[in-house]
Amino acid sequence: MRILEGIDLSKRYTVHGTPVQALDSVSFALEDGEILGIVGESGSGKSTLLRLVSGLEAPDSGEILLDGAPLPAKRTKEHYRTIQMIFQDATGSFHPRRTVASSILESVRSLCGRDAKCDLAALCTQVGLESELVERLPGNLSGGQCQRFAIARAVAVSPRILLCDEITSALDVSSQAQVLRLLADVCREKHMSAVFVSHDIAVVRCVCDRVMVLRGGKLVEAGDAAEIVTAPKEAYTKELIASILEIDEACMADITNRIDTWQARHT
Amino acid sequence: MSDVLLNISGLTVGYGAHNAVADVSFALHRGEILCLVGESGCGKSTLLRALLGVTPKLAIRAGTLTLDGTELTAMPDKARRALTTARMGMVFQSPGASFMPIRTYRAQFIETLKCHGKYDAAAFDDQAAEVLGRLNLPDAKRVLDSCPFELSGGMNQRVALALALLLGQELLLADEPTSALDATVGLQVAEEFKRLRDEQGITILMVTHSLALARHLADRIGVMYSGRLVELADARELLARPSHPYTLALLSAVPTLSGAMPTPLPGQPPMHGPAAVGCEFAPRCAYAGEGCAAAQYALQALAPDHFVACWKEDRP
Repeated sequence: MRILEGIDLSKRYTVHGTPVQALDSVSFALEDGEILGIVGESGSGKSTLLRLVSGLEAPDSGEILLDGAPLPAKRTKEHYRTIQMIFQDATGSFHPRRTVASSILESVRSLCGRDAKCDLAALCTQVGLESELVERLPGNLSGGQCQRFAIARAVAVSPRILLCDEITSALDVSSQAQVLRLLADVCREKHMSAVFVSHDIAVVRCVCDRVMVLRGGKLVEAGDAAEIVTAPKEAYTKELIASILEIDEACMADITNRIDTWQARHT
Repeated sequence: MSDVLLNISGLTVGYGAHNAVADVSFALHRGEILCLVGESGCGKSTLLRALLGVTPKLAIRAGTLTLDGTELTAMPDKARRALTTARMGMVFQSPGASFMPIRTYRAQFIETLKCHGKYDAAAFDDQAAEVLGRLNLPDAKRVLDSCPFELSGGMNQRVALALALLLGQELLLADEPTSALDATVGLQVAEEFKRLRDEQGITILMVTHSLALARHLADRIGVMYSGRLVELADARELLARPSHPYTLALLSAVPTLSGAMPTPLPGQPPMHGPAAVGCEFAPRCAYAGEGCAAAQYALQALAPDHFVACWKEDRP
């Protein structure tokens, strides 16, 4: 079933007096329970697309449908609860002078009602963090911990759709792996759908079912994630794939066994 | 002329009461690229800052730094700064952090060259055009008359490299120079570093959290954990035979195009810096056992170009 749909979305900004077509008639569909990846470089329109879907900005033309019904320009609290956004700068997405707990509770109370209950300890367990960390200020947590709390804050209001804007690109490789796994796990457990934006096609390949490639505000190609990576049709997609610095196959084959052994010991 | 440009021996540095880097030793050879990898907070950026010696609150607690035969740690601060900044340049993650965003590159280049006593008004334009051209920035006039905020991230990073070339610096310290860039642009900038090594013989010490980038660029790779160097090897050797459990864990966390979900390390890196006794990685290590809590840090040689700091016999 189709949960979210964008039809012919366009958005133009004015930068230093010159108009820039950030998004040019892009359409997309998000199926229920699916993670849709959007890949592109700076200026491809991927963040603009998320801002339109989240309601932070209105499109110049085109429509966004939730469960087949058009979303109004002025969103209700229920819309905001249903569609939650997670940002690249996790630390900056929390109030710097309030504990993470207070920010999460504020979000729950404002979107689910004043008397809404929120089990912080259970949320911490879900995102794999010790519950005492939630009482810290965001500045006293690492970027990876903050990002996991940002996921906790989004999940706390029981949304149906998560919008993820480059949520791992400010993190190092081990925090990135933790956040990717967490996102995939919560989406599956809570039966949520997600739109996952990243400039890194390898990261998108790991978590997404389908992928859309954007460039300069236009759709380049779209398809099954595995197919796009193994058999890209467009030159630009090939370029994106070639820019992923992979550890070469000979080396990788040699160490795969070691990694397997390591994982076996680990679990 | 010795092959070793910079020799670091038993270097311990810290801010205030805490040490951020402990007992780090390695030699940087002329014309090589050495990449230091590790998680955020492992001390890799602090190490670069300590080498340059321009961060006021960062103190060298122990160890020696020898640049081309000259011992640096015993020198007065001012003399040391004069020597290091003349020969070493720093390239930051965001060029906005090292250049004034709303002043033209021309003004900033001239000011910096004057500070170093290397400004020649008559020759400046030609020299700048030549160096920028070498870095794939053919329109030198436009670049020099632009402010950093007007240029793209990749162009700014090339300009930062151009300044190092103009100053005649032979050692570049690079702190995550490509991680703020798009993948394709980051790859182009990485290629520029390679060319600087190949064509100009410039020595590069680069900090990155990407093992794949390190593999692509580096002659040797050092892996740091909690302020200590835990593995140091020839780049190919390190990838083919990662021998510290932490290196293996880092490798398993890299997302690949195969689509397999990367395996995260459990837990968090320690926040308090290196401990005096015991392996810091033990609480997160799949190979840890009795004795790790009391193990003394020591890099042991596995091969002539492969060193590891894990005492366990059944390590990877």
